Amino acid sequence: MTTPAHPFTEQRLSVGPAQLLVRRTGSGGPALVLHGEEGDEGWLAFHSALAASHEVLAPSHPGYGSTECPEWISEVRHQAAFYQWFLQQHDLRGVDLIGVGLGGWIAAAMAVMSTERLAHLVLVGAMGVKPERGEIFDIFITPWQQVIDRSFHDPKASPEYQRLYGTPVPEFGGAREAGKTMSIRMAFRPYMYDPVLPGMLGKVQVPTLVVWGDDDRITPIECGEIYRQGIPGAQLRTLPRCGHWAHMEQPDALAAVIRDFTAR
Amino acid sequence: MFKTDYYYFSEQPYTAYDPAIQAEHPSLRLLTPNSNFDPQAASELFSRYHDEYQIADESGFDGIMINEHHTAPFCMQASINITGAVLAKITKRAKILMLGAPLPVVENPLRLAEELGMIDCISKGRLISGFVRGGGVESLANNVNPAYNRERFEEAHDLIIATWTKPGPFRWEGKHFQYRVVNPWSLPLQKPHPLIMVPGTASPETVVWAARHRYPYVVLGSFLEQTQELIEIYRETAAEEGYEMGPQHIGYLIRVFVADTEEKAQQEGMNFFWQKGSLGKQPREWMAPPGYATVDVAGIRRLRAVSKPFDTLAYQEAQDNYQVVVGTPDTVTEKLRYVRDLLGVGHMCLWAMDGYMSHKDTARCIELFGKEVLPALRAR
Repeated sequence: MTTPAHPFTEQRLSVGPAQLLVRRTGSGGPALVLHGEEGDEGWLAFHSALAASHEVLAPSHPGYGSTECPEWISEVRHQAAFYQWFLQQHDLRGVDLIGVGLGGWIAAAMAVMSTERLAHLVLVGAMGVKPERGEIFDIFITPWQQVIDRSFHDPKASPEYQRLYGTPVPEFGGAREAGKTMSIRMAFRPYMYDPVLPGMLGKVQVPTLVVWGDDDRITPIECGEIYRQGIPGAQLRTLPRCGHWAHMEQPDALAAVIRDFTAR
Repeated sequence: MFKTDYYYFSEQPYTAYDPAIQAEHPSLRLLTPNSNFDPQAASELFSRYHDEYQIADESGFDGIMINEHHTAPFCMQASINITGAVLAKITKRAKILMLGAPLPVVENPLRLAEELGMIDCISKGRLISGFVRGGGVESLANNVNPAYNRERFEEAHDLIIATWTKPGPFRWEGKHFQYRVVNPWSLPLQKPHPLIMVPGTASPETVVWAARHRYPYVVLGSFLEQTQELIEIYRETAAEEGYEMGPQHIGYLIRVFVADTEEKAQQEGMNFFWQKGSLGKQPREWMAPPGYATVDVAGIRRLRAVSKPFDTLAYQEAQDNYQVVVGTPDTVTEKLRYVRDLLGVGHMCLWAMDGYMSHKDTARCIELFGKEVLPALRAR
């Protein structure tokens, strides 16, 4: 497995007593990219694509294998408080906050807490709100290889899929085991949503883009509609030929959409 | 010769579904549609299984072992306490070995402590209160976060023991359970509290935990060699704790069927394969959801190794390695004596009914145990 060819550094940055692993590169406005339930899959083609216009900060969430989890973090809103703490401690301002899947939920929860340090918010196939008609696909009772395959529109056509999942993933152990455990810890019940989040979205006052793969078979697009309707002024865009993990399946298209939105 | 208690066990299988559904639902758990459940058939089966418990009680078993599972046709007992309460009233002598209450999925352990107190009082002090972690599916079916399985097990246990032994009222402010008043007017008859047992199949963590608490550990039908390894862990832990492990600390569950003739026993014994190894066909995510066990590859692999399909063993091989014991009273007595003495177990749980065995054959099996096998085992 080769890493996309773009130089980046790996740093440990303090957040209170914790040491957050952050991969960073690029120049431009800061973009904090929060991974989702796929876990910490390392440096991605998406990060490289975004680095053309942004200084990309791609952390590995507490509990997902590379950042030790502080005892107090067991919920998504705790992760959100942790990352607000991170922004505050490192005095990051004008941040474009980008969250994918479960990371989109963390990002939305962060924005509800405070948008003071944010320039833009981008939610990609975000969990966190309960769909009224459909259901969020249950990734916790499904063999992980099937979850991966279902998260792509066309796995065979995706270089990132081939790079990361081209050989069958190990069933047990490693960073993926840690990540899945942390996701279960935070999102087992209610499954993948916070019932009070929609009621608080009106507080979010930052330009917001909601992006959805047009073939997201994990999180129904009506969740994207709920975010769009809830956050004042938010826009919703879909990406063609794209599943739930848009940052893996359409990294260049997603980066272009974000670049376009954040340049305004 | 050490003393051994003998317990009758059946899972109370729900056998009335069409076996053809296994083609679509190989593991027969969690997502197998319950439209295949016929309550009329279940009602008759419950009645029959309760009758068989009475026969076991009257035939001289020292105890009756019961259990609980969810979304599982192999076991109709969705609440072990309900079966325990039935036994408390319909049996007279036998201990009621509950193996056991699945503590991690219990939402209100105080109520569980109260119910167990009632069962002990109603049965006039015959309760043996087992506590289990439960397999992954029990967490999924009850929708209790598997990542907290061990924490919830330990805290629920501590709360129940406190409820039984510490005069109320007192407060409980734990991580998973909080009570402003713990003060139940339902406490066990046995003092300081009923004997507690803990079953397991493979997890060394559980053996160590049981040994530290000096609770008997019951190995649920694992291979003999692995069982010996688990017992060795118990022995070592006991030594570290400053006591010597004895037969009273170890139990073993074994599949066994007795009939008047070898042919009949061989034929009926095949019922132990009735679900065609369905348990081992569960996805890893059901058997051991991430977080259910410590993130420990070896541990999870071990768990699966003992959960492998029972029917992958040839029937003869299963008998050769004592996974199944069938035969006439004489041959069964000899084999059970070998297993008992090899393992040095003070508790032998005899899984003597499964699958499509008829009531008549089951009743005869229990009678033969009472008249011939158990007396012979007790003699030497």
